[in-house]
Amino acid sequence: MRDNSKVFAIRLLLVLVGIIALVVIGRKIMLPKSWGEYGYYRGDYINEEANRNMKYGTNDTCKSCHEEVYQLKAHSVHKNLSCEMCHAPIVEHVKEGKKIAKMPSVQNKEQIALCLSCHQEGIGRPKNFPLIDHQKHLRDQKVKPTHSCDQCHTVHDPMENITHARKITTLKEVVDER
Amino acid sequence: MNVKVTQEIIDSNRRTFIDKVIKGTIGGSLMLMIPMSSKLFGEVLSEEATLKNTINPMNLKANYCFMVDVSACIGCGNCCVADRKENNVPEGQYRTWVERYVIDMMNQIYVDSPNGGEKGYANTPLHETIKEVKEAFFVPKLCNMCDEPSCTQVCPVAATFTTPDGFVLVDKEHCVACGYCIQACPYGVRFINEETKTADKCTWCYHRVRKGKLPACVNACPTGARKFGDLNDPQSEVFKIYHSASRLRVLKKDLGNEPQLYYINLHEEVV
Repeated sequence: MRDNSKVFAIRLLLVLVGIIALVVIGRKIMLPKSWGEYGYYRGDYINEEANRNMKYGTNDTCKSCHEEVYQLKAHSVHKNLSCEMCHAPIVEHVKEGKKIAKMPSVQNKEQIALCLSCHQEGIGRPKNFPLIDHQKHLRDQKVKPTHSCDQCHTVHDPMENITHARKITTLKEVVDER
Repeated sequence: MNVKVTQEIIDSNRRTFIDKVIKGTIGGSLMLMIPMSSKLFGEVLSEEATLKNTINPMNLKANYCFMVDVSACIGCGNCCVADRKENNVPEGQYRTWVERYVIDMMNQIYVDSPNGGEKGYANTPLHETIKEVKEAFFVPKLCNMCDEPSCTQVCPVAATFTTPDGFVLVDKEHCVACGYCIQACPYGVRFINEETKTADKCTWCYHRVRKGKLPACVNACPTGARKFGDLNDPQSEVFKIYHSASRLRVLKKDLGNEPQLYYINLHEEVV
C-alpha cells in the first residue's frame, strides 16, 4: 500500500508539472510578444496606432509653398480657418515633397453652399457670428440672384474689396471689421 | 574677350566646334525624348509640405484634455467632415457628431442631429414642429476619454485599454466585436465599424497628437470651439480656461467615469 501511494504522489506531481509547463509554453506561443509591456494588453498597438499616416496637415504646412495666400488670410477675418477645410486634405495634393494633384477650389453653386455652411442663418447659430439669409442678402446688396460669393468677397480676405470700395467711394464710413 | 580673339579660337578649332554643336543638338533633343526621373526634374516642394510620420515618445507627464466651447459652436459640421477623412470612418457612422438642442417657449427640449450635423441643419423636420424658439445651441460630442473608463473594464479580450499617456484605444487585431464596450459606454461614442468589423471610436487623433499635431477636428474648427491641450502645462490654452472658466462641466459627472472632455458654457439640459 505504502509503495503504491508514493507512486500515485509522483504521478500526481508529474501531471501537475506537465500542466504548469503546458500553460507556460502555451502562453508563450499564444500571447503576442508585447503583451504586458505596459499593462494587460498588446503594447505594440500603441505605436501601431501612433504610426498611422496623417491626412490633414496644418496651415503651416500650406504656408511653406503658399506664403502669399497665407499672409493674406492671416490678416483677415478668416484667420482662424484651416486651409484644408475649404480645399482638401494635404495628402491629396502633396506626396513625398511632390505635387501630385491640383487642390480643388470650389466655384459657383458649390462655393455658395460652402460659404453658407457657416454663414447661413438658422436656429441655434450664435448671434455674434456674421450670418446672412442668402437671397435676402443678394437683394439687399442689389446684385443678381445668381451672384456667387467671391464676386464681392475675396474668399481668403472677405472684407478686402468691400473695405477698399468703401474707402475710395467714401459712401460710408470705413468700418474695420477685422 | 574681344571679337578678334573669339574668332581666332573658333577658326583654330572649327572642326571641334561644329562637332560639339552637333553633339549638343542631338544630346539636347534626346533629353526631351527620354522621360527623366521625377527626382531630377519633378517639382520638389519643401520638407514641411510633406507630412512627416516621425512619432514623439509618449509624454507621460501630460494630462491631455479636450474642451468644447458650446457658445462658440456654429454647427457647420466641418469637424465631422475632417474626422471622417482623417480616420476613414464609413459613411453613416460617426466618431464625432454635433447635436442641436432647441428649447421652445413651453420649455420643451428638442434634440436633433441630421447626418450627425455633418451637412448642416437647414430645413430639418424640427423647423416645422417648433414655432417659437426660446434658446438653441449646438453640442459637439466625441469620446470623453474617461480616467475611469467603463468600456475597458468590460472588454473580455483586453482589446480596449488605456495607454500610459491616458488615451483609450481599441486594438483592431484583438477586438472580437462582441459589442460589450458599446453597451458599457455611457456616452454612446462607440460603434462597430462596418469596414473593419471591430469596435471603433474617437481616439482624439492619437496618431496626430504623438506627432505633435492637434486632432483633425480641432484643426478644422473655424471658430475655435474645440480645444485640445495639456492641463499640466501652464502655458496651454486649456490650462487657462480650466482655471478661469466659470461654467465648466463634464457630462454625466455622477457616473464617476471622470471624463477628460470638458464643456464650456454648457447648459443644464444637455446630457
